[in-house]
Amino acid sequence: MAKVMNMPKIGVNMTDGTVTEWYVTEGEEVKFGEMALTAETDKDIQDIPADQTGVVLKIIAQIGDNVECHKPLAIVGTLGENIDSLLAQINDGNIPSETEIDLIAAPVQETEIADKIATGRVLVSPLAKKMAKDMGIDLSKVAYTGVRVTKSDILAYEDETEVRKEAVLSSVAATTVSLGTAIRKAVPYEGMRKKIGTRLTESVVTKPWAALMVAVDMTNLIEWRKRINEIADIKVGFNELVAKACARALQQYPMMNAQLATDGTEIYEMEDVNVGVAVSTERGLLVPVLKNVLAKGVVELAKDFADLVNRTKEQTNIQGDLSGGTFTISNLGSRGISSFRAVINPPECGILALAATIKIPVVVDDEIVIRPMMNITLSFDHRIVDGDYAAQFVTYIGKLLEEPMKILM
Amino acid sequence: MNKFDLIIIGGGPGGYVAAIYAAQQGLQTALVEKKDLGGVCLNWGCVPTKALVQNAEILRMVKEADKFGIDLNTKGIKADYSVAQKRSRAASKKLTMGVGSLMKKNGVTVIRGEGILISGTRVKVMPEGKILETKNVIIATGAHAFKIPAFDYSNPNIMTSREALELSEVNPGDQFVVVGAGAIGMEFASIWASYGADVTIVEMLPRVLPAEDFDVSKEIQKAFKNRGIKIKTDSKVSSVTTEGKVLKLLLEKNGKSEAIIASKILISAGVRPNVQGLGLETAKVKLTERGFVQVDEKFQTTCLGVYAIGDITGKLALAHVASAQALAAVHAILNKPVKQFNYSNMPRCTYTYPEVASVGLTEEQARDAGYEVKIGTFPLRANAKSVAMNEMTGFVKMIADKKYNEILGIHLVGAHVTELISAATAYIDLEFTADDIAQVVHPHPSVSEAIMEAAHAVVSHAIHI
Repeated sequence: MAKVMNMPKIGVNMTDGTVTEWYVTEGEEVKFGEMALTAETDKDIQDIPADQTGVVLKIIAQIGDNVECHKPLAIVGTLGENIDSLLAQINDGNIPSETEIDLIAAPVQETEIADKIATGRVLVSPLAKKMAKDMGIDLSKVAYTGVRVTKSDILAYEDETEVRKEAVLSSVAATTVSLGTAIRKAVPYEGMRKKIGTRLTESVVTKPWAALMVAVDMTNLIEWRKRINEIADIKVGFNELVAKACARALQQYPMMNAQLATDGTEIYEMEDVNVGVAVSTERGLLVPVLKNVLAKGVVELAKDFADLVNRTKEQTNIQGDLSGGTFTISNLGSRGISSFRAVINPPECGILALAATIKIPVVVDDEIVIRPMMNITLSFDHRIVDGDYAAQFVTYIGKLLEEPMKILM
Repeated sequence: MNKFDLIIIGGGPGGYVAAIYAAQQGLQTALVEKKDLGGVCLNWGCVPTKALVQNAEILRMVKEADKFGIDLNTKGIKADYSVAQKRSRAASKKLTMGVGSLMKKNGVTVIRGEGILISGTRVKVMPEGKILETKNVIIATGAHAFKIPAFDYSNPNIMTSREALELSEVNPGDQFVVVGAGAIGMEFASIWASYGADVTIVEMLPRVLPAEDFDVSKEIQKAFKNRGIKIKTDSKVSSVTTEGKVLKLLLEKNGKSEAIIASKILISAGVRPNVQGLGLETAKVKLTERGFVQVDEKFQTTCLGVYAIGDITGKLALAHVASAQALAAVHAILNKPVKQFNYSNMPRCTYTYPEVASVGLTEEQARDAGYEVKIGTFPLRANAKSVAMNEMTGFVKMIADKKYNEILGIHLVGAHVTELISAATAYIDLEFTADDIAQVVHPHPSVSEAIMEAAHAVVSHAIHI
């Protein structure tokens, strides 16, 4: 679908920009975050990144045109797409920009930001400013003792945050202890157990998550897997097939393959698609990561996965086995779970929970038939994407699993 | 009137500043001083020595006039040290009187006598024995020169800085031995050497100005040697004997002995706090293990309502530190927020030729503190103004932490660098990073450019070298 590429707002003082040069012409591709043009802004003449990915179908703002922030620069989509209606809307001034939708959807946030800009100029020393940026600290939250935020205030804030984090953890622990019964045995909460706990608590406490479930008809995938396993020299599992489908979907929906920068000022769209697969081991839950899934076939993925699982279970992991993931899948199908929601593995944007494939009656072409169905549930970070985008992503995965040939297309 | 909001004991740069500020803030304030307003600093320390330094500076320039093509018949120059000494006394007197009028202007009651604590709210003034009531007390009685026990101080030729400032005669060829190469010893050595005296400095530690960065010590040691000042480091005085009109010192270095002759000896081995006869014990004001008055971050002693500032607290025995503590203590009394003191970020100046000034950590301290140290240096011989002035000895050494280019220390050696350290202190106190200093435009030509260049050297490379 064709989309409007808008003038982004770079820095709080930027209100508009005058186009001085286009780096792309109509028919050329732009990528989100890549520099597409230069414009004269409040600061200087600066490079302006594209806020869409696709082929430039129409350049709306010509060189010399002054464009307000969040107003159209170009239309981006796939080659040959009809953009007449979009153009008409733009000409009428009804710009169907995503930014505008966001503004309506989140008016509270907007006013908060506006207030901060109007009244909340934070006085800060140059060193403290550098430290805050590096450590991902919101300066407006730092209390200071002198005339402005200094190094010692930043360090004090860090200490406090640590204490608060620990307080959250201990309060979580405290609520689970019931005094109504005697304690039979105490197991130290430490090491791997505590690591998992801290990480998942952090995820749940810091990420505003939401979950979306789709029921998937597995008939074709089961068949497809059978055929692959007839010709492959290694047994390919459902996890690898789902990982491959996810990779394809992540390519299509790159914001699901994104992460929020530590300092909270940018969203990073990740270059590679690396899919982690949650594995239960004697030590606890571990997530070995299949690297560069887009470039690999399912047989190669199956080999990688077998090696990874072996190394993980035998504790002989090599550098990178358990890190670098951009998305995770968690499969509890073998335990007969009908559906579940998984906790997002930080700092990733999403995790897909795979439930058991269960034969149930479903309606196909107005007839009740028996089909092997699997519920897949996507948990996603609402800071990075909105529900509609996540819904498109998870239904797309569903379609890929129902029509596995599409993965290759 | 016998009732006050605040009584300050001691009228030095800690006490009199506290008195003025407290009075300005509306407190009924009394200042008890047994001798002269202004304390050691104005009367027997910082100020009179700077008058001598100025005399020495002029003499040195006049002697070098021929280098600049000015024929002053250099060989016939006669310098009368007694005039310098008188001028130094006059400078002290003038400033002391200035303090007196400031007291009057601000409505501070000045009481002559020795203040003794009876409790946290009562001060007895001797010798009259009058008892004053007060809500708060600030003790600011300062310190005195430490007298190394081995010397006979009844001998008029063995002096501390106090007696040295009363010395009215220095002639070419006089043999001076300075024991202790801290700021005070180094300054007197520099002054007397300018007057043509034959000066030897004896220091127990391996280098002169041992509290400074080791590169600073090295540079000043080299500069002093070039001026003909003899330096004996790692050396201890094992005995002093009188031989006719002169003194004979036996020095010991690494087990070897050496005898040197002196007409005068200056003992400059640090200071000791004036804690005697103040009634501290009665008022339950505790001392630290090192014998200084114990204070908390708000300069409150262990006796409620009794504060202490300056040399007596043993934090950093410098006049400007005492003055800064004075403001903070008054703030604490007024229940206002008190800025936390970072003593390493207080500027330190030594008025020798060339001068030394520093702020923050030395390289060694920075490394010991675990910083990932990055050094930027810039020599004054590459600085345009220094070349034009023919004052090319010295450098700027900037010590930074690698992670954020945080400035940890700035060390200066060179002519007039004590005037430059204020900028460096502001940079550190305001938490400028090296990147920030490098992009502040400094005037050309000026010696201050060397600070910017050193910052450039921390960030990447200095421009002019």
